[in-house]
Amino acid sequence: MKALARRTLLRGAGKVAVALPFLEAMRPARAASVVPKRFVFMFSPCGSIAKSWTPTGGETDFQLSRILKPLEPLKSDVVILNGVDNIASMNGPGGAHQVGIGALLTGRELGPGNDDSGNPGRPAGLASGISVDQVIAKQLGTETKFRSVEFGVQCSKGSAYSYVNYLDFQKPLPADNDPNSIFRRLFSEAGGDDAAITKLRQQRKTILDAVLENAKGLNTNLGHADKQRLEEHLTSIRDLETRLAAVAGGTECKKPTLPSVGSGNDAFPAIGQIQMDLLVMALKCDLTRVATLQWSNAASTTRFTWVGVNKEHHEMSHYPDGDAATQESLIKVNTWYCQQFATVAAALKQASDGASGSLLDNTVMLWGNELAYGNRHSHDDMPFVMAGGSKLGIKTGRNLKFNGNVPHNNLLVSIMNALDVPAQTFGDPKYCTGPLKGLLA
Amino acid sequence: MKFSSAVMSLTCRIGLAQTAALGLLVGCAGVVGTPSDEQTSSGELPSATVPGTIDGPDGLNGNVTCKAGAAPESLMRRLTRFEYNNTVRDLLKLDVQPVMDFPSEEMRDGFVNNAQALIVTPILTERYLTAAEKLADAAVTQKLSALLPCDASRADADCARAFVETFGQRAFRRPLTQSEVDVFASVYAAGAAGASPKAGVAWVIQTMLQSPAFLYRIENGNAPANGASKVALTPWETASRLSYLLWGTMPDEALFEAARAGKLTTVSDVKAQARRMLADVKARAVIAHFHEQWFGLTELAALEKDPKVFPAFNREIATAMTQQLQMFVDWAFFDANAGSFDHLMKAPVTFINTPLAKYYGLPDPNTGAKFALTKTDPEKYAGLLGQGGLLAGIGKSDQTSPPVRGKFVMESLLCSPLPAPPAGLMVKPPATNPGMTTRERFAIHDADAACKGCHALMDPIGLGLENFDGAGRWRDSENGKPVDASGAIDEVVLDISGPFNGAAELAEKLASSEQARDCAVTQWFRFAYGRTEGAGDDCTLAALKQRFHDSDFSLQGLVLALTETEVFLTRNAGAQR
Repeated sequence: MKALARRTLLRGAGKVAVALPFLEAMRPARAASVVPKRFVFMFSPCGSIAKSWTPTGGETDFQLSRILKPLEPLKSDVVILNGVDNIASMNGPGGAHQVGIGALLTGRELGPGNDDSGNPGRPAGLASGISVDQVIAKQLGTETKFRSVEFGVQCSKGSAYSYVNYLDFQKPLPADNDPNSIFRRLFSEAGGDDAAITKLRQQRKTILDAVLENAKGLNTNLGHADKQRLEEHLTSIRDLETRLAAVAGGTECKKPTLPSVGSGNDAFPAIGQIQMDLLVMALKCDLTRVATLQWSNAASTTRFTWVGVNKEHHEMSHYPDGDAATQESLIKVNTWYCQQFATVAAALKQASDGASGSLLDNTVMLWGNELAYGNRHSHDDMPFVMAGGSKLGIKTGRNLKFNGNVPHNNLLVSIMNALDVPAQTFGDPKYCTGPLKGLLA
Repeated sequence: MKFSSAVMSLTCRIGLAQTAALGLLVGCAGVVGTPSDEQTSSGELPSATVPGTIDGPDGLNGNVTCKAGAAPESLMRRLTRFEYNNTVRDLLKLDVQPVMDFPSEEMRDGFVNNAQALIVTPILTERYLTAAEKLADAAVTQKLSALLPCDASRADADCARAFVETFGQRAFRRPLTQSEVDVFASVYAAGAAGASPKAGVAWVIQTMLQSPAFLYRIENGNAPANGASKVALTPWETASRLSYLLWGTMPDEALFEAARAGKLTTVSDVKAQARRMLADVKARAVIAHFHEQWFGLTELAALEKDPKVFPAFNREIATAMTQQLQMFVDWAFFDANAGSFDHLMKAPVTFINTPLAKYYGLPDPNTGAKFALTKTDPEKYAGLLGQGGLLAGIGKSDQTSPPVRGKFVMESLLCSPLPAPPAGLMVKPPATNPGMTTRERFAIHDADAACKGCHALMDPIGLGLENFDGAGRWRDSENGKPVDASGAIDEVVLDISGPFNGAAELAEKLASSEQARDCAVTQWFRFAYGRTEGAGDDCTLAALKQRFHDSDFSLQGLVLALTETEVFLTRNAGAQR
């Protein structure tokens, strides 16, 4: 750990500062042939504006529209998807926002429940299956300290509107809105003394073993559902135990220090910036290979004062196409979100993955929304954008067009395939017809 | 008067005569091992096996009409963040708030303690680990001598076992089994080896705090009898049910002592404990916790308003409004003379301090930051709706929202859920207009048939609250025009449908509404039992409603009644597989 003696702090305005370098001593040299594959999903809410989103031109000779303009420097790394529908969300209980976010990564309808705030007479529960990021995490996340990390930026709490990620049927994995909390989670061991860390890991193993040993008799006399719930808890402890010894680090890995984190509506962009910095560093340090960045929640009430927009996002999204001033505001909002997606992609592009290109080349990034167009609450022609993955079989630098009726489950299947998860279907099979044609080389 | 739910497959009317008759048919107390009370001098018999029956001081109260059915399978309940904090505070006797970075619970049916929704995620398991380490460290640093039953310098194996047994009984809220003691004794030995008794104690605490036996209220002390799913609780399990319902934390020494002595097996034991506990200061936090969820106040302190429209509103006011509501609710619940639903809905009382009085334009109580109980103008500020923060928290950042206010009244206070705009409908909320009142702008909802279907159930209620602006202050005029606060409840199935004028009249209506009172019972049911009511709960709800009625809608009476139902006093183990 000599490296820490020459620790210096690099500070960028409003950004996560980094101390150089850390954890290298803890990571055995990785075989050059084994390059981590990664998945990053970004959610933004309330739909987009078609005329300012859809690129013009053909598959390879296309011009980015106004909302997607921030991707211009990354044009050769992106795939813009036109005409892919979230068909799973067109059925089942729940209102448009709920079903949209619920089906986004699960490819399934919402399950039954009591929340009828979105749809009269058809109360909904949460999504009815595992989300694709968690399926991928089971494949990619076996060796890392964390199977996946969910970064939230002022996501509301506690309903179908709030959840993108699911462990299982009606089992949401809420995003963590607090950068302090995520920082402690990711970097608590970073920069520590190797011997102390080893000792702590041994202690934790002894204790978790005892927790599991003690739990053996606890399920006696319990009902079936409780037996299952108890087993899920113990599985989670076993999973934690196997990760105790996971190594992290790498040449791009630097321990960050956190700037102070604000609160309230206007702190949204600053919190987001910190979360993005932490996300990028988590990937660089190989702490995880699967991450979600969730901005707000379905039917978001964020007010984008920092781009001169005072009204709540969801309220504006209902205004008709003819309302030019509101359309302009919504374009600003969606452009801002695109800028954030581009920021993460650019940071991964700048990071080297050794002989195999950049981190971005080995990462599939997907940006999705719970609606296609806000004022119609529609789910056809969803505004999906991908970035990265050129070393994972994705033909990038394209504007891919489909003629509708192509379920987005197909897109999720192709992403799984690019990330070593063999599958021909995902989510509810009735909303999937196989991989998305033409996405992979 | 003992009978089982098995005989009641049809709609029934429970009255004294019927229960007596049914009691002759089936005496199932022995079968399920329910509380066995001796016959009291008044002839009162235990009724814990009666679905929904509450064995009050006067026995069953009147006739209760209900559809009998079996309650659903009981689920073990995981500690919520609120409960975890309280529990480690009392277990370790430390002033700590460790759960600040635990993930927030899913809110189901308005409450964060729905057992089914309390699932485990990887991050939670990690946080349990780090919290256990921090807490154990703090405990052995500050309290080692209090934790160890011997001098730390001569802590031998016997001392370790004694510590494990004593501390373990409090951590798991029941005595440990022999094999459990063995497991923890070896954890102690592993921790103490090469270090010190301090490490041994710390390791044991860390292990116990991560055990499901601590993190969940596991009720497996009694086995279901052959073929039966209904199981009596052990006294230890009953003690935990009482303490988590009434205090949001582990049992105190008196409850443990009662469990140890084999008490808490009779309804009268449980009643006596519940009364003692509700009178204890520890109950206040739970009552606040319940109401902040029921009325949607959890985020109120962080409420933001558009500073251009509401320049006087700031974080200090939002925080003060939260305190104002908490103090009002506490008063409405606990006040010896006024603790009733009636007062919660309509009492012309509030609590304000100097900054808040200035904000509302009310007379300064001259108390500085301290809050003072203040009588209010009953024509303006009545009950819950008259506490400024409630209506400030419901709506938009720059204006009132009559539909959202109406929705709150319908859904939270009347338990009458409303639909939201259907998919595909182009909805444009009327934009603010300096020349118009909110009522004039929202007239479009009335004019447009597509809107009217749903909005007729919400807007007229919210429009009757227009004397309160978007940030909770009284106003007589809006944009230079006088406020018209005529409102109406248009849902014809409600017992208070019809016109009203202003918040105070609506409060009066709510206070007298059977459906609003029943709604309070339903909300308490969900919170107390950690689940949504189901078809099989009809008799429990009916009996609770009856009891609420017979106590003149005493809120304390309602909470006490919740501890006397079969749902509370037994568990349903479901099918054993």
